[in-house]
Amino acid sequence: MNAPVVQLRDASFGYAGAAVVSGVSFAVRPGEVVAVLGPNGSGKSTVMKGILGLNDQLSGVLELFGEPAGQLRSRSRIGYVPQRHTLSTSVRATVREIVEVGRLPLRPWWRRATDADRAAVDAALAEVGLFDLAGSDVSTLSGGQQRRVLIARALAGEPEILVMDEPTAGVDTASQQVLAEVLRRLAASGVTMIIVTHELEALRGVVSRIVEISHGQLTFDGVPAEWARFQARRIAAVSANGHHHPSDHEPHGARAPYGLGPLDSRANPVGGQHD
Amino acid sequence: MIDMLRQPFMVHALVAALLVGAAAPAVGVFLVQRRLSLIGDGLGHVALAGVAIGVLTRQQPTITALVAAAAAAVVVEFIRVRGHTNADVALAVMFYGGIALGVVLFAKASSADGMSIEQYLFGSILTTGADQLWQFALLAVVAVGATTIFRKRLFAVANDEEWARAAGLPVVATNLALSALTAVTVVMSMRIIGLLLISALMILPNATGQLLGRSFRTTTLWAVIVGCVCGFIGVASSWQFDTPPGGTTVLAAVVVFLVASMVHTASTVARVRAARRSGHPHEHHDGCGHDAVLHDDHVDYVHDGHRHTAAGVEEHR
Repeated sequence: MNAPVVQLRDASFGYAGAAVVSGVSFAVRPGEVVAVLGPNGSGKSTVMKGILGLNDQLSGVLELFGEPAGQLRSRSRIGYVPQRHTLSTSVRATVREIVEVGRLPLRPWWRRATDADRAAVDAALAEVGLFDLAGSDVSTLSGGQQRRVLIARALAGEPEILVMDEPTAGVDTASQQVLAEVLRRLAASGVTMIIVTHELEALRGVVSRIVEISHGQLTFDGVPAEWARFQARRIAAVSANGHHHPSDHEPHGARAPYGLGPLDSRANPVGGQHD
Repeated sequence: MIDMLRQPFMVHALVAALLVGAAAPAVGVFLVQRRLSLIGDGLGHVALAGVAIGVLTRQQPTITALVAAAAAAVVVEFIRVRGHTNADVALAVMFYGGIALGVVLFAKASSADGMSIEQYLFGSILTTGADQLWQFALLAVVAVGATTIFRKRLFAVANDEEWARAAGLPVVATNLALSALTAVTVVMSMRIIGLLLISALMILPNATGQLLGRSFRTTTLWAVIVGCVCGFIGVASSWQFDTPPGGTTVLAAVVVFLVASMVHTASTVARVRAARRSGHPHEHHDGCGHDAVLHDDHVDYVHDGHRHTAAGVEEHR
């Protein structure tokens, strides 16, 4: 089996010495698309930021590309797509100017952009369907289009894995469809992805594995079909006991838990259990 | 007007004004981007204390001011990174402490030296000697050179600091470099524009540039052009109408901004009207109500039985 791109073993992450998540173990192998689920405040973003080196790893093991995370020389091997619209729009900037930034970590400060840099930027813009808007001011774009700009910026660095924080959150349905199409396109071309999300339904057919973080712990790790059964069992258990805590497992209250059914149809290329 | 160029001190003044006119907006654009527009003003306050210390101890005021402003700039960056809840109060203490110290020390020094605090607060370009001009020219070359070479990195970090950290860009070093450049710009401008007015020349031409340019590159270029033009106007008007150059330069920057924003508003209104007349007022984007289809390298919008790209190309490629 391929060596994992990301490997967590009993890892704890947090801020200023206080752990937010602890004892998390899972691995992401090349070509996998892993959805990280969990209610708000569950610690799923903390795990993601831990992988990105944006917070403190307090214990356990984090290996990236088979080596301890601290020894990773080039952080641009991980392409980060931030959640909220972190782009500062206080000054004008074109889509191309933002995406070009994705190439900067790859070259020393004294070297100018080469043809290879420009070709990578073109390819990234085309991949997310923004080639015809390369010259537009990003602040004039819709929320969904800006998300695609952020994906293109990450892709421009030609990363070996994409880490996305809520790529479909807060955008309308039509934009979600385009974003899901972009993610499907990336998944089909074998791009490894970790997608932190609330909206599994929007990623139907893209996700090959699901990891759930709840109350700072890993509570599920398996393929979408297993997830559906797990959710069904969870609901049955809750109804049988007569105790119902919707807030524990259903962040959207009355909404069906993470969209049953449709995800079952996709065959999982990697296989069942993971460490 | 031509007589002006026959006077060596006016040529000096003109060169100095053009240097500041180019350097201040080139550095200032990153302050605007990071929403730290007024930082230059605060550093100017602290620089005054540096000048006074220089005058009092008979050191080069340019050097002591540079040290004071740079130290203040590093402290500002440190306070910002710490994310302290009372950050703005801490800054106020430092900035007002700086200007008050400057005023007190100056009062002690000027009785002996005949130096006037106004020369630094509001600029006195015409009394600037050739030796000081060389210092300012050097600082201007540093400021413009560094912002040109590091433009993309400064842009990247100011645009999205969290992403820059995740991607492994040297975020702290880049921010400290911008702080140092801001201090350099404040100090080189203090005799030309004045410590109380320099922030205006870092920000106003950029406000105009935002209206004139369409990309970060062109907006910055416009800002530098506007800065140089205003510097020229300031010096020329001081020759022609005997006005103080620093104040006139900033007034020119204000007028240029007001004219540009009126022209900008008028052209936006005209464009909207033209679009309405053409019968195709709608600019497509995701979620505009039309079905969006990811197609090859762009997104098409299905609309009245035909497809559009966001760029508005009628024919489907």
